[in-house]
Amino acid sequence: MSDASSALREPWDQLARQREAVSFGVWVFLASEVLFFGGLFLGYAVYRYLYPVAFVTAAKETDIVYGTVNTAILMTSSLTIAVGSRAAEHNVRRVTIACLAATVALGLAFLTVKGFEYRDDIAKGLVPGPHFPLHPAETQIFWAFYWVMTGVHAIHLIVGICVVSTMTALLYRQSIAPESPMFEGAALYWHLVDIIWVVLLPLLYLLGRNT
Amino acid sequence: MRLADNSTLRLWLMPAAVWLALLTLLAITVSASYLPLGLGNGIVSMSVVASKATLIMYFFMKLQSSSALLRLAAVAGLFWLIFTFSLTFSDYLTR
Repeated sequence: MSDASSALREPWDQLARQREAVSFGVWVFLASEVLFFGGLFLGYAVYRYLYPVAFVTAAKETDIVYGTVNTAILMTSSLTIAVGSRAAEHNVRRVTIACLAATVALGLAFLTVKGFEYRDDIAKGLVPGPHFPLHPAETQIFWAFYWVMTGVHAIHLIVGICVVSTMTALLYRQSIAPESPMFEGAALYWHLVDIIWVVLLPLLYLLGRNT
Repeated sequence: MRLADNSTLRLWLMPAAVWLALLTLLAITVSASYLPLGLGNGIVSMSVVASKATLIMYFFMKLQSSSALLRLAAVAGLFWLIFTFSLTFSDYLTR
């Protein structure tokens, strides 16, 4: 049995059709993800419009070093999974495994940096509630968005890490063929999680740096 | 062996170019955020977001070589996002 035929699943009779269906299904899912995060972006936009001064005051307290380093890490992970997915399509198993493993490692690096950042934020008391250190009170709205947006993004990344590491293990044990379209599906999801972070960077970290 | 090395290099070439462009855009947007540009700060950071997202979707997510069906599915989310923003702000901006 060739690799190509072992990648083929019911009900498709050609790998090309299966590839198209997987990508289409994932894109439809990603469109729903865009609307899910879109709700958060919209809420953020409305409150920033209503309380511009409080949002600038609050945003100055985020740590731009952690934010920028994490953006670079996530962009590099997008590079490795893009190469991994191309390598899978060209049936270069060794490069695929190396790239997927690097993607998982970079995802974990992002979460580690995020963990240090959360620790610093909590130490500074930047959790909305009684004794919040900033004024006016509306600064807490910004920080509520910060925790929810970065938290939900981190959950998405954890899901991505689980999916990609499972695929790496399956490929390593030769349980799936490199031509399987599932690599492309996972890559599409990973890239979307990267795009969400690209949007979060200016909203949470770049605002208020020049004042 | 030489052939194999060449094809491995070809796998990296385009994604590496996109990656360099993304890092350049990151450097631009972070530096620009420290400049007092007034309204310009928002314009620069949102243009950089749009450019980065376009690069990722067009090259990494392969929309440059995708079928019309996939491209339509990709813009569907964006399409409805534009509606949620324009309808909401047609209220808040006109109060």
